[in-house]
Amino acid sequence: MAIDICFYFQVHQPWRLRHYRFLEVGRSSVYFDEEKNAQILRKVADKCYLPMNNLLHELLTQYEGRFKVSFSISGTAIQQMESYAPDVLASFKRVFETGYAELLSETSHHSLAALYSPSEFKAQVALHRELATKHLIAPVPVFRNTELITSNQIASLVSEMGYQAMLMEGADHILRWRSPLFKYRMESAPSLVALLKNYRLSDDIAFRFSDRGWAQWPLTAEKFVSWVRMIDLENPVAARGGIPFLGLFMDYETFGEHQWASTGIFDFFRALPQRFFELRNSRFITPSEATTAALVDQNTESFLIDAPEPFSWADVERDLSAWRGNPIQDAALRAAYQIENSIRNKIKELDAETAADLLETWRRLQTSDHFYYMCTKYFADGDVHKYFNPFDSPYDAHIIYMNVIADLALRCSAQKQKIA
Amino acid sequence: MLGWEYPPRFAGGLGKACQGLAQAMARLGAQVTFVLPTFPQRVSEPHLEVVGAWECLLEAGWEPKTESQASLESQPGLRAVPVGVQLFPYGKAPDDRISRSLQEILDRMGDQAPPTPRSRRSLIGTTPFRMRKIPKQAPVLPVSTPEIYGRNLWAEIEKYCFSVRHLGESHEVDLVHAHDWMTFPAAFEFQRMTGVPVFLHVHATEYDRSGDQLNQEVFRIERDGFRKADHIFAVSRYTAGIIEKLYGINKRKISVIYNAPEGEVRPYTPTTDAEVEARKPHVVFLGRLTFQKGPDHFLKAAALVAQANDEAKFILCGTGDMMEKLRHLAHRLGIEDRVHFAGFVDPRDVDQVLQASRVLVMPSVSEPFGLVALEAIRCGMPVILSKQSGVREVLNRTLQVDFWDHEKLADQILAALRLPELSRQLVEEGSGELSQLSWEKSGQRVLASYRQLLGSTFALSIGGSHGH
Repeated sequence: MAIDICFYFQVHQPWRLRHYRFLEVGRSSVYFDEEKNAQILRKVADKCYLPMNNLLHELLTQYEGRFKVSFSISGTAIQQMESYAPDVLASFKRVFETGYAELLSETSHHSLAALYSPSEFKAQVALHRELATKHLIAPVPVFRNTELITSNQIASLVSEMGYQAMLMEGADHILRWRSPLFKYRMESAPSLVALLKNYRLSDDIAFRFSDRGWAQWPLTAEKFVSWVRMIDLENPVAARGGIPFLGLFMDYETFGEHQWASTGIFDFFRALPQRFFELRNSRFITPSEATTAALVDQNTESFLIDAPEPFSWADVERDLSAWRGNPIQDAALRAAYQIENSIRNKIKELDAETAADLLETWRRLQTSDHFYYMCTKYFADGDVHKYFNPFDSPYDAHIIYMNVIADLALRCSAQKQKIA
Repeated sequence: MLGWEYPPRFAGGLGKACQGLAQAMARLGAQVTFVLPTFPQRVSEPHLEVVGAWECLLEAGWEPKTESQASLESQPGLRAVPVGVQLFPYGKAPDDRISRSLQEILDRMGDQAPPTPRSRRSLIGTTPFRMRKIPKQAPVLPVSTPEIYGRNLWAEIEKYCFSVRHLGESHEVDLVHAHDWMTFPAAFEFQRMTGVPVFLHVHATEYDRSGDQLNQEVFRIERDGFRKADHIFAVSRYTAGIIEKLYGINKRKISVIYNAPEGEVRPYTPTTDAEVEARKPHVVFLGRLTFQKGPDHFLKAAALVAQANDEAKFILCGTGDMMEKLRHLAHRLGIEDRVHFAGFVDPRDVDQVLQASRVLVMPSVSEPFGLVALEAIRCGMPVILSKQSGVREVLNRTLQVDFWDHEKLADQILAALRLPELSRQLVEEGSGELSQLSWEKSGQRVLASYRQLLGSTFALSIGGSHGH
């Protein structure tokens, strides 16, 4: 069988807020928890980034181009690596220097700007390119929006900006009975190639790998590849003379952080490429290679993805409900983007350095994680939202965020001399 | 059931909880007789009787011999004392001493020998609960106006032991279910007479009431009772943890039975931002003004809130031994004009206070449950709960804070006052959690524990009395 396998790993760290109190409004503009952010980055670096980068470097070098991977690395993650762990930045750079790893385009601040402010969205995409090129490598013209959030409107925006392809969730409610193995186009932007995540096989690794209650536990490389082989039995793409695209998209933190080293995740991954090579005509490709192939391939499926409502790779709903939809999330998002005009006006009166600092602060507050912490969809113990929440509860996350926004608003309305 | 409070004779959450549970158990088909030290009202509902042990004794013709020779005739009717006076076990220690005869009862509780089991008949479906014979050898007891928690609480406890023991001589029941420590000695006296199993229900422990300054006698009664009991019900995991860790009781012997809101919970109707804002910017504390309820923490946070919010007013509803201290504290913090001591609020007027205010704060140092939080949410009001409370286990979707963290508490109060979306969402999600709680569910869990211990005989007797 012939199959194209595309690994994509998301690397992201937000600037988490400290417990900023309302009584500090107008008195302190120190919002972020330097210590905690440094501590978490260091922890994830030691458990995941460094060991997995080493493993990938080894595999990419060893297989000399037969094995390939791709990344998205948010601008905020790059900033934090630069400040707290330059060795991690160097380690990623080494991976890219093999020539067999690709970096995708995205917003600098892992934001929801695409939904609220197209101009800010474009500015952040440009900023990401700048940051990535300076510290790592120039991103390819394939776009990955925050948490794979996609809609007709976002697709046309991305297409207008000159991108040829976009990564998306192979969500059931979007595809219905259609296979995620095809490379589709978007209804609102027919020139934009949609590269879809195969969530079943991706989540077998990302979520279920160490689940002892799972009937398939323990997962071996051999077993995983045997499932991929089964795709051939019912392969609608091959029936049309095309090559199926297997999108294995996941958080990079899967390796060593969500699935600890002791679960055997690294050994599993080390064995994986060789097992894939045993499949006849299988090959690893990068998103930009997949895009090129799609653009020349005449046998692509003619179905156009139509998404009037945004969809994403988050939670079981695969929608936006992880970040917006409850009153406190909506209020916080409203506050974050209502302030845009006053920020832009204020910047005009400030010297370059102060202006850049104010703009950067506002952008750090746009990171989707702040709104994710306010999610109250599930309240069960051990819920993934709770796991990542640096605060006691979604309500506390909201309070702190609104306190910070109150101070930021005050800074924008204050007289020039008061800022300095 | 043995209990010390039952509406209208009640001082706080204990009475409401006892009523909620007893009524639910009756609805579920159990025949419940709730025995208080004194209860002139006498309630007879299907499957439920609420009686005073004292009245039962008198009805049976028993004449108390008193030290002072004070006759009963000189007491025009036995009455419940207005709430808010001398509230021992939730206040200060009793003035009187433990008599020798009570000491004997307590010593027997400490004796861990199992009771002699007796054959029992089921009492399901029998005639009203009355004393059938006059007890012989009635001891000399001090007779005073029965108070809920009088100065001579030990004498009240002894009197209660005496009357309950004699109820045991003439009545057969399946089990005894005793609420809080005041009733524990009587429960084991009853067991001594009948051999039935004893279930203890813990609404508060001495640790919650007194912190580190435990009353050793009360602590010992609780500890001995817990050890000797067949099973223990705790009102929260928090309280179960105290019983396990501070009293050294095996947790397998403890079940958690959560309290529930009173009556029907109205379905949640969304409030508009305007409605939220129409409430006055009042921040309410509702509880006894005693150390364990944390009213001082409330004032310290209030002082911080006052710095950033010129409108907020702080209302303390309740009375207690800290009243004067709190007035001084409010003065020292410079917020006396922002603080209102409302005094005791009649339980029937509580809803009115809650419906007019913006947020309820429960900053308890140790709160086994915290029924007031359920009432606040029912009244459409967000709550801030101490992390040292049991109710937070069932109201996850609330603001929560360590009672000593005044800065965070102040921040949450300020947020509740200025962020209408937050208040609205807290009430909406809190109402959802509230609707998950009911006395029926709790009653069913209690029945399941009974069955586990008593086996099929009990299941049959309950099953046979369905369809009230």
